[in-house]
Amino acid sequence: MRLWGRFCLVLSARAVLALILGMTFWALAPLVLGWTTTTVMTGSMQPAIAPGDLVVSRPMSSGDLRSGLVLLGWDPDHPGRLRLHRIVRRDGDALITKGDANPTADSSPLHSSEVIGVGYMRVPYVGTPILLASTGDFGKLIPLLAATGLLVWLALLPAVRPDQQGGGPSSTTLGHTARGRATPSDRPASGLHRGVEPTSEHKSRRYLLATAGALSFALIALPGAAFASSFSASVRSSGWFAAARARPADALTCRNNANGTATVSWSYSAERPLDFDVLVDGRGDLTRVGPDTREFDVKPNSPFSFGRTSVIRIRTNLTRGWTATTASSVQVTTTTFLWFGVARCT
Amino acid sequence: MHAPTPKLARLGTLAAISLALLGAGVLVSTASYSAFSATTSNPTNNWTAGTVALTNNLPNSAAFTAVNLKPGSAGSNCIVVTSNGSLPAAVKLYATTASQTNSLGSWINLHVTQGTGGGNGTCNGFAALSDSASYNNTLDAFIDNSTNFSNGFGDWVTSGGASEPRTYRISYDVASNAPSSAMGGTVKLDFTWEAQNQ
Repeated sequence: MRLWGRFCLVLSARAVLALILGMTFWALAPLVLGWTTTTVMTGSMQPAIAPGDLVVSRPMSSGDLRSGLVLLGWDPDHPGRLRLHRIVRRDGDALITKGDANPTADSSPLHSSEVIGVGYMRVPYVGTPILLASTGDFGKLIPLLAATGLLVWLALLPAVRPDQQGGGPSSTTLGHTARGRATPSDRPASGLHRGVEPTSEHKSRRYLLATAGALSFALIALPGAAFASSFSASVRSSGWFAAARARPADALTCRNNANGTATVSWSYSAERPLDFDVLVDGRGDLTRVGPDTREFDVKPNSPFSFGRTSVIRIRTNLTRGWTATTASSVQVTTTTFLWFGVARCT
Repeated sequence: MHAPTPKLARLGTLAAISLALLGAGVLVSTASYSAFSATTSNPTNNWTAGTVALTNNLPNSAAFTAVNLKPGSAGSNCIVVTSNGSLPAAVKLYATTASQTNSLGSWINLHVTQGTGGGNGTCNGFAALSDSASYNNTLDAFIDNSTNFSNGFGDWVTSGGASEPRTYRISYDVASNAPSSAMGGTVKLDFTWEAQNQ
């Protein structure tokens, strides 16, 4: 029974090792085609792609890139790192991507010059040692490597012990060693008379060993083409800034007074300005009055020429520089003779 | 019952390896199909390899509502951003969904300082962190040049693990030489903080 136990154990180990090597083959073979294999480091594409997966990406012309494809590209947010996220939409040359497990799309899009390829094959689990090594998780890496070493050792054991030649003829495909059984007591001193079985099994063990060695080396030497996918989360708050606007005065009117002066008045109910300017078209500032003033007396001894008509407007100075002038105006005509004169609304 | 023979061992090995290689092909093609044939991305919260998460102290409310601005107007607010992710992450601040009229943004100066304390609509208790980056430029420059994670502002790297807060004091002032063409102008934007794992 122990013999069958050993037989099954060794064959199972060989099967598991072959499974692992087979999967690794699918991850590495496309490299000869110029495709790219990367190790997935984070879970931002879960559940579709998990950390420890190897993803094989194939090149694709930029015209064929469409939403739903998983893109491999150089991450603009982290120089030198790769991003492996799904395309959400295209804006011309900009490809908006999003990790399946991220709540929102990536804030920076990928451009076609940054694209390496499109995810095509996923080889699960096989990249786990690379992931553990690059995150420095030796607590998990060392047991994993030990278990792998144990598996390889088991697979390379002879399934049938050389001194347990059981019933039934042995045959050889090699033909250069002696046929027939060897009795348990007949242990040859040299290898020449060893039984057929150990030699052919020895050869298949050598094949296994060579393949395992080659693929392990290739796996380790896999260009640190690691990474893929960043988790992201964001939060936002809005901002609203609105500048004030100077308001012109309104209801601009003129009234004549009994003493020969004219009064210009206006109303204003907006924000209290710095001051008001009384403007005369073509002659600029007549005078400046305070922010609460609403009228101004035009006197005949103001420096007006004889019979000159002045077009008067009011300018609101919200700040020195932010101003608004009334669109409407009033007219005052001043008639001065020597020291006497009259100002009249016209 | 016969003991296992060498011939059986060879045949068994061949069969086992063939089946295993076939199995590897099936495994890879199944995994590939399910990973790459989906056309939509479905957000899930079942992350097993660590997470990144951010909140601030004003969910759904405004960081700033500054109206009736004139040359010389100024104001500030302190916003506390908290990281609850389990992975160390870099946090950047940038502007999204921004628009302005009358070029008002080029006449507003924006200053962002990082520190601790304050929040809840006030900067009482805010203490700036020495040796941390600060932003000093016009609101216009912020809107144009800080637009995503790669060109965003900030040098905060969270340590991952426990809940970790940082306060951003954002203050503005309107240039005293802002021309009258800026009157009535507006600027609208979202201040967005994003964390990405290192």
